Amino acid sequence: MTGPQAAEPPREDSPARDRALLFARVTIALYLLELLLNLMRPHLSPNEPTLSIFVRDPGASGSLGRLLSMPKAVFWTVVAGIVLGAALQVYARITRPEGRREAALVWATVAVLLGPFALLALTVVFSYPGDALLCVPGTAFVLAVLHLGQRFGRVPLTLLAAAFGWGALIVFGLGRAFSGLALGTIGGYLLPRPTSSGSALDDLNALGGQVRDQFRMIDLAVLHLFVVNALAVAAGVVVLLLLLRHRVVDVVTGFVLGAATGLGCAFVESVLFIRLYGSLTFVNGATGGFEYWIRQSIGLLGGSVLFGALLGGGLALALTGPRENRTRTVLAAFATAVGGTAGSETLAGWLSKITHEHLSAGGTFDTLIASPALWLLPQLPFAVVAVLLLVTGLRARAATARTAILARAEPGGPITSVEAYFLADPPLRLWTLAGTWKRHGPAAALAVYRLQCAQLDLASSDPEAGGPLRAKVMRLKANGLTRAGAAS
Amino acid sequence: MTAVRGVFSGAARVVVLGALAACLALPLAPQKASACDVGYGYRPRLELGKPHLGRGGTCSTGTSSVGVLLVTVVVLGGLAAAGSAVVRRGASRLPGPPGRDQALTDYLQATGLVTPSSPPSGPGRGN
Repeated sequence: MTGPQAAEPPREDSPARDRALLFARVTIALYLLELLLNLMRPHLSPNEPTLSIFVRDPGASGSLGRLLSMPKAVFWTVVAGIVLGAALQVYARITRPEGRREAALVWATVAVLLGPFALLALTVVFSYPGDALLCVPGTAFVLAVLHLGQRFGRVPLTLLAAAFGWGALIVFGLGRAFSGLALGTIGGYLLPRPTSSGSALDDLNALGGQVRDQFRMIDLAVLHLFVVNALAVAAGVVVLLLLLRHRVVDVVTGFVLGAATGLGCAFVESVLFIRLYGSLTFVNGATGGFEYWIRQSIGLLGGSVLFGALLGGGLALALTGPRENRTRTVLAAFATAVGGTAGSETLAGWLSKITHEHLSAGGTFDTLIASPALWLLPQLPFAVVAVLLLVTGLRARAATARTAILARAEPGGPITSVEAYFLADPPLRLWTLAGTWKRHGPAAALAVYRLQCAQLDLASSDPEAGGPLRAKVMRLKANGLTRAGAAS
Repeated sequence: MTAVRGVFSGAARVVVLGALAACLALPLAPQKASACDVGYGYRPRLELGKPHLGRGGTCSTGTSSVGVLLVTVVVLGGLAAAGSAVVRRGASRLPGPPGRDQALTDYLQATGLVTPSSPPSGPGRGN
């Protein structure tokens, strides 16, 4: 909507590029380590495949089977990506390209190394396009709120979309690829080999023990998933923050990028949960519609979105705050994201178990109040912290933006003193839009909105890099209401 | 403007009252409560000795749809009410209605988007 990026000059994105390449390399190194550990795991049965991700659950066939296991085609694409990525890096080392060619080669390497993991998310979405489409309105609404709710200079829409895409494709894909392997590895070490003593009682006891071991294995794998997710979210947020460094970056920027990344992951995860839990109604009492209600309605801002926002805000705080506190802040942000997600999930499950012991599941009260409350209650303290972080960040941003807007005010310039008075005050700004709509119609209000966005982008940009933004504001002013409206 | 404000504040009242009614009516109604499984931390409990393996019922799609509808109405209504309140707050920082009209004219002229000779072009304004 603001679209300042279109008018800005090509920027030196070397720090972001270097971090992206570093992350891709570390990711692949860790993935190879996961593969090695999985290959070396103790096998539970003689016919078990070399890699546990190729084990097919006999009860899960067709599209459901694709959800639960890593498709072989995806795995071999990941392997091909690793080989191609390594070849590209060797080529770059030999030819030593410079300038745009070097940048293109680095981004191509990152895409080749990480891109195949995105196929896991795409498999989920394209296996169930109907469910994915149902999740679009809520997700689009939250993205719009994230974009419009920033009040002053906003994260460009393209970067917000990039954060969402990173969450949906890379965070989800890496989380599943890594944790799928970890589940098999942990199971290999933790689960006993199936045996039969001949006695029914012994077999029943053994079954009880196996179920406990299975739950422990799942707990560890889920914790592993949350760690991988947090690392992947953090990598995406850091790269995007570095791409934005020519602008004023603050806690709100990181908060918004983290939330958008979490939203992307929640989008694909919702489709998975709607299908998976919806097909196990006889076991867990949930239906597909119920999972939609929890994940895409009442709890849409919880879970991945909440903890992504906290992690992103924390990372931005570390990046912009005092250097001596950087490590401590980053560690605190990670601990909050991983511990908060794991703790909330465990506590919600525990609360659910307690209620099960006294009462039976199902019914209106359970569906609309009890189940959402039990899931959201453990997240409440973190939501309070997130709100406080956001309010503090918005206040600090408002103070900085007001100073920057007033400093840019000049007669006949892109921001005049009359405009600065209105621009620096969000309620007044909204009032001008409502008034313009009433007096001149929606196209005119849209033209004013675009001008205000461009002026706010100018005010929040680096003064040395503001030339093209200044030109954009002057161009919008010259267009006038009618032509700007017609152009829209 | 007064009529628009009236509609907004009326809508806000309906939304708030509806939300309150929903929040109060359901907990006060004598119903069984438990939790259908939501996330990774939930452990399915099957009790072999009980009918339906200890599962009393399901959290149905129909009831969930009512919840989705309620939340959508409350969120959209809340946003409309908040937007209306912010616009009123903005207007209150300016002098009375004739002065506000002039302030808008001054602002639009300062932006350069309208010139002093430009007529209003909106609906019902002789466009």
